[in-house]
Amino acid sequence: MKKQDLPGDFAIWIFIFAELLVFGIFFLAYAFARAANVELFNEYQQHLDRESGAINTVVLITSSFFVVLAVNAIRHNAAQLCARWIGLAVLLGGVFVYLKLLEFGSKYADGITLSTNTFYMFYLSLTFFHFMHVLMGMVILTVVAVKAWQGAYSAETHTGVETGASYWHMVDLVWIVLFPLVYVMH
Amino acid sequence: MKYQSQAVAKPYFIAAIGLFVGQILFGLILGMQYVWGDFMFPEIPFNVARMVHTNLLIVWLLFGFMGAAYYLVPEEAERELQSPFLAWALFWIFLIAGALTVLGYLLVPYAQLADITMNDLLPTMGREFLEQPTITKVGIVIVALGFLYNIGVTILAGRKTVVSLVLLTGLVGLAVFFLFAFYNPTNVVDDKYYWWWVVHLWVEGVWELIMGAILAYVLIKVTGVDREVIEKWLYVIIAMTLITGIIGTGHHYYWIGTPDYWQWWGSIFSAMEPIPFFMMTVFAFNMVNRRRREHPNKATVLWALGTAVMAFLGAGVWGFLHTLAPINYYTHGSQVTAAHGHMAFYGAYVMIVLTIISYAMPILRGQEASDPRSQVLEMWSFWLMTVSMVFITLFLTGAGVLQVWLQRYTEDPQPFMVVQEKIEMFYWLRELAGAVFLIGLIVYVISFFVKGGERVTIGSSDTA
Amino acid sequence: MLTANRKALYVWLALVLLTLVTYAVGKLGYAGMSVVAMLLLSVSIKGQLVIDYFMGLAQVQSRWKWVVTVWLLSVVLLIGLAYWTSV
Repeated sequence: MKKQDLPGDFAIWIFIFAELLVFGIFFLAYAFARAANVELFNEYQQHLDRESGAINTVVLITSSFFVVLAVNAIRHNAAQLCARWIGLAVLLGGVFVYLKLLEFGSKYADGITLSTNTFYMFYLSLTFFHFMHVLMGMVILTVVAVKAWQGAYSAETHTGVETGASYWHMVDLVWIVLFPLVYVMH
Repeated sequence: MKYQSQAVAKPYFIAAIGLFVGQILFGLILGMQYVWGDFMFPEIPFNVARMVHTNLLIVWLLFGFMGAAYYLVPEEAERELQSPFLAWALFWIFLIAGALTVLGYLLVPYAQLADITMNDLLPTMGREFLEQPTITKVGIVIVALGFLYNIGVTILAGRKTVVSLVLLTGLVGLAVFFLFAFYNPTNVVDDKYYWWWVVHLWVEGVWELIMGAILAYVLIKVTGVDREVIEKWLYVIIAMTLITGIIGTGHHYYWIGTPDYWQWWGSIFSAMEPIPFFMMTVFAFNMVNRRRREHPNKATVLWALGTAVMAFLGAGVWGFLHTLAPINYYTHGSQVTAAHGHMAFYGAYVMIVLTIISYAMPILRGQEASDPRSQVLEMWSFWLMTVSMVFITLFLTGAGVLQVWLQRYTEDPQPFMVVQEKIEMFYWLRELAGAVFLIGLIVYVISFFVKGGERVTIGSSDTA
Repeated sequence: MLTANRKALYVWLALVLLTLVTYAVGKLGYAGMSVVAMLLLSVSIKGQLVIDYFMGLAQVQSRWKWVVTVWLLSVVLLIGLAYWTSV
């Protein structure tokens, strides 16, 4: 039995569409800039920490999975369970943030900046921009988790949970494109 | 008029229109000087006329925004304005300071004006749009603080609505970013970098919040559509404004000596700046289509819809045409820029002020809407001004494209003045369109003094 | 709750597996247009799985859900085009 509306508050979906648009254009700018600088991009891509990127992909996917479990929990009125799953999702978000900071730190220590070359400009811009959205998503999820714990949601009313969940899945979706594109494809 | 203190909006609106007329007269002088360089020289040289034209624009729009706030805030907050006396006092201070500044530009050589006003104590003069003496700028800050206090307390002590909070945020932002007018770095790159924190973050940032809030307010009043629907749209629109416009500032950082990555960031984000304007257009038409009442003020509905469309075209489309770095490389600082600037300012900000005046002035004068004959004239003025502005823009676009081609893009680029001669025809046509614009403005002013005509109400126009 | 959770688990598994494959391709240094195409296909599958089962849009009737899929497909195709023109 299909539902009529997108999950959560519709306004977040406008926001999600806007974010997807920005990232989409950024990805395409990367791809077409690469077309004009193939050797440069191929070479410096090799200097990226692919292990970190791959682990982070699994981290985000798992985090999203936990959020799905959280939404399923509240749909069955299990508010505490919902809060716990979101808590774990946020924790994994924290792991992503930590690994990313290590990555940025390493590049910074090597003297790499936005002005080093076009590849690094895109790598740093894209991943930093995404990083900011991970942080924002974590804030949103934390608020949802606290409210869930306090009993603000139920099986009948849990729009907030679905809203926060949708945003987090968008963050995951963007990374799913970003990782292969920037770290692997050549 | 539900609250007595809304009446303070009236002098602000009158001043706005008066200064608007002044702005256009100087615009026509400038347009003439493009084709007849010595016109009014040496009494009013080009650079002086330009300062007067641009400064008057900003000042009358500010009067308009303040009038709009004084009108709509008491109604939204469901309480009288905190201090009508303060509003009146600030009105006279702002008007007199503005008048003195313009007189200063006209009567005194600029360097002398700087001396007289003790610019060297805290130098802020000499930058485009920010030519005002430092003491005038300080005056503006004082007026702004007084205004924000007045409006802020009224809102915060009363009913808070999305409309009033967005408006307040925009107005606070306007004041905060104006402070960067006082920051005058010696380094030329920094100077330009921060100048845009006033200009861009005003017109492609906080002013859009002000415009969105006023548009939402007018649509609530004239369509009767549920406040919640309209307010949700407003949230989405301002979110898109901020998402695209903040980093979109980078489209002014392509060639001024900042790092190259701005060419990417500025292009990517500013390319999306038309989106909020597109949304405003869909929003406005949608709300009018879903209206629950036939408001007797037809002119206002026309202005509201027209604002959204012209803002989208002028700010959105024309902005997009020259926002990408590879294009801007050629068009930077050309007549293409002027074309965009005129239609954008008119479409977004001139028109939103005229929209709120259209809605509020009759009520301030004791009627729900003006007499039909007045509205007809007002609607004529809408079409005259809007269509002539479209032509001004088209002619300047033509001039700009030809200019860019001949002066920059061809194999054999021609010098500036040689090219100016070749595009002269466009300037004549622009001036002609400008004259029609003035006619439209005169008709607009006349509409306030016309009465009569038969009101026909098909179906009831009672409150829903 | 159990079947919904189990479905999510299987999706998670598929996503992780595809991620490992992507990583391996990178590690082994495979390159060229056919590899790129394969990776983009993997991105499409992963993306659509997230859209359908994590975002839950497979359960939704709204026309708006297509926006996300269209986004994914457009981005993937245009990236493919950019790579194709640069080989």
